[in-house]
Amino acid sequence: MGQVKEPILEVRHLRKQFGEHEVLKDIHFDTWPKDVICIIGASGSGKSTLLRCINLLETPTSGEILFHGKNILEKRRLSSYRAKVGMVFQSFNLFHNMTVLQNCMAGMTKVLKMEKSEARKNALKYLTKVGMAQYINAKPSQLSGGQQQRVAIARALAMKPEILLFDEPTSALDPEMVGEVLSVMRSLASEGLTMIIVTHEMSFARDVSNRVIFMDKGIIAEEGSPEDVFENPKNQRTKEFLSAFLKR
Amino acid sequence: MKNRIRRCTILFLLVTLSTALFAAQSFRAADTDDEKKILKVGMECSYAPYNWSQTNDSNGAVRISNGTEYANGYDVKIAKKIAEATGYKLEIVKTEWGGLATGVATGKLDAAIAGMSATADRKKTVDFTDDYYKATIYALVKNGGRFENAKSIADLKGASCTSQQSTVWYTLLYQIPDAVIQPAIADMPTMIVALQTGKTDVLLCDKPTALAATYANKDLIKIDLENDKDLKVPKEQMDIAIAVNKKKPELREAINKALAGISESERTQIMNSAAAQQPLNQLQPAEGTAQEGNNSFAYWVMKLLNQYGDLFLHGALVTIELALVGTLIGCAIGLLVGVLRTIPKPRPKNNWGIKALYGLLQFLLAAYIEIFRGTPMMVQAMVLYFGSMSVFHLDMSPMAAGFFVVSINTGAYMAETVRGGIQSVETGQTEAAEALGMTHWQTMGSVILPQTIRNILPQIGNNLIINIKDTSVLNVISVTELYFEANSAAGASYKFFEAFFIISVIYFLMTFICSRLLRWIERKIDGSGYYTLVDLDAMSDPTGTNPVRPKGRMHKWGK
Repeated sequence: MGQVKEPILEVRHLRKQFGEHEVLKDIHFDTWPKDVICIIGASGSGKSTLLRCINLLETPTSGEILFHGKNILEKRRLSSYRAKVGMVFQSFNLFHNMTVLQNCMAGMTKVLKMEKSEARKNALKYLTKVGMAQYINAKPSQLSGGQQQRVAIARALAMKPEILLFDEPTSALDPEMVGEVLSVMRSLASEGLTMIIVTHEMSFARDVSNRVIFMDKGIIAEEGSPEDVFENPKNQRTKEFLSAFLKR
Repeated sequence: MKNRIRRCTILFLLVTLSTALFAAQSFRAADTDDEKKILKVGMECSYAPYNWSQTNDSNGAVRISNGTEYANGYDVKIAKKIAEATGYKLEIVKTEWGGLATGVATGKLDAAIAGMSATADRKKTVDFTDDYYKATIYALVKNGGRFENAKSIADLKGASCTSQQSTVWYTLLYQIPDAVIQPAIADMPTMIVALQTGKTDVLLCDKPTALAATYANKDLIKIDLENDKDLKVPKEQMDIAIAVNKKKPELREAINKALAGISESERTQIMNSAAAQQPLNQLQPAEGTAQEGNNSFAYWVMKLLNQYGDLFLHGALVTIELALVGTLIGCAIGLLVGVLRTIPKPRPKNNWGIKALYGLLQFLLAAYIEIFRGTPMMVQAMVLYFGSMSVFHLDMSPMAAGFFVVSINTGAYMAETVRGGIQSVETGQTEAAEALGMTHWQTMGSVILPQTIRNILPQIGNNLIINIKDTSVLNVISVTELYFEANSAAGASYKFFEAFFIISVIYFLMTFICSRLLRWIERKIDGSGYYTLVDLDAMSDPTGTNPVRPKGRMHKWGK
């Protein structure tokens, strides 16, 4: 198995407007297999919108998103595209009418049309991976935030996505629970899963990612290896943002 | 998924069952022997002492062909004599007052023997035989009132007076000198209450009605106006005659021949025995045992329960059947309409055909909701029941119309409730489902609607309880629900307050039990506040072929 030559995902000239307000201005970046990209930046800089555009939860105003070279905005095979691009949300968004196990099985049985026994086997595999296999009978409302987020990760992993998107996965968690979620994500990164992570956890971004994107006012202000961005930021805004974080 | 299918199946079975019940009821009428020629006679079976319904065949009562009860009364006794003399086999068909003349004219009935006056208006549609009773006019006054000693029309000078809506009696009121004529009243029980409470001084009615009223209410006095020269009554109004089809003169002749064989004294004697046998009289304490307590409220409530218990029970069952099935079907309609209303708007890229279709659908759904929420159920029932007959010649049964109206009405309310319920499920779950690749319908079916239904259960309960009470308006289209049956019992016994006290208790019991049951269902759906940790060893069988056994450690969270 040699190095794959083409990127999984290419974002080209992506723009997004909400009314008069331009949230994303000409965003341009590639994601290669086994990339772990962390997107950092101040609130309102457009990080989450970018992520939601990639999964088409928001419709971009213009630009292209190429998945294996094909523009997904042209041909709408939404369901199969989304099945290959997983998403983990800030507020977990587990299905409250289902148990932990049913949450993880739903996508496989409904979208991938997998046999129930097969789906169950898979779900248990990924729940074991995130350390939640004991809780298969619990309802989401009976779990702590960290536990819910780990289940949400297992639910996304069970679809065997080519890319997994994380939208501030630890922002809604107590400091105590942040650790358990980050450690799950660390192990996923070490296994070579392609991930795009919007986060405010700077040390995590520095340790885990191979590329860091700093966003400011709807544009990519700086992009590079974690060493470059964190140790020698070139952009003035990056410097200000990082120093504000370090002072905390 | 399985659960949803099972729920749908139950709903489907309920609908099928009730449809089958109607069919069975409508076919029963055709099931008779044909050795003799049959004489189908229509009457209301609730106009004592002319005709009434009772629960057994005592005193020579005849089984009603389209019901489970027996008919008796002056009309039934005369009908039996006619059938005997003409060699027909008698069949009694319970028919609403308004449907009698039409029934005879269209040939659905051979004759109507129903205490009917041979008026000029009615003679336009049907023929009448010679009279079989002369209903002379009586006045009713209150014992101890201003007119207790009145003997004639002249003595009633200056009295406030009223009578029953659309009767000849009401048109006679102006013959009372200086009378203060009050608005007409819909039924006899209400008229009696008006007289007893002093709202009015004088009531006009016919002899049998006056007999019945004074028998049940000892504080009323009847005044015979038959030979009063000051009161001019058109002869035709007093002639109670039998209506027959204009195309059957031979039947009319045969009946006239039979009637000629019943002498005046025999008629009086038959009327007297009918007056003595009417349900009202059986409610009275036997002669000589009358005690102080026998006229008490509690005594009459018990008496009515004994006499009309089956009637109340039947009414309650019809009410609960209407409310339950109507609410279930209404919920199904509401879910469908509510979900259709949440279909996402077409994107700007979509072609105009899709946009037009979407616009039309949303307009129709909104119109349905606004129209059925914005008009009274009673009016909808009447428009549907009578309108379907006159416009489409579709003869809907009262029950079918009842089920339809309750369902469609509940559906309009539930549609908005469902829309609110869908909006109450946080959008994050929709996004999560879509991010997994689920379609709008998959998201609705497996994630949003199960939570919506749980969230709107209290509102479904509200609707069920409202329906239990509001089906009472269906009495306007002759649905024999609880209010209708109570009205019959009150009409036959002239005990208005007692009958309605009984059904208010029954209504309360039904709504109370339903609301408790729904709370129980809510708790069932919520499941336990516990979950069990699963032994990790069980993971060795992740396919679940062997069930995973809970280890027995219980964890409880908040609440």
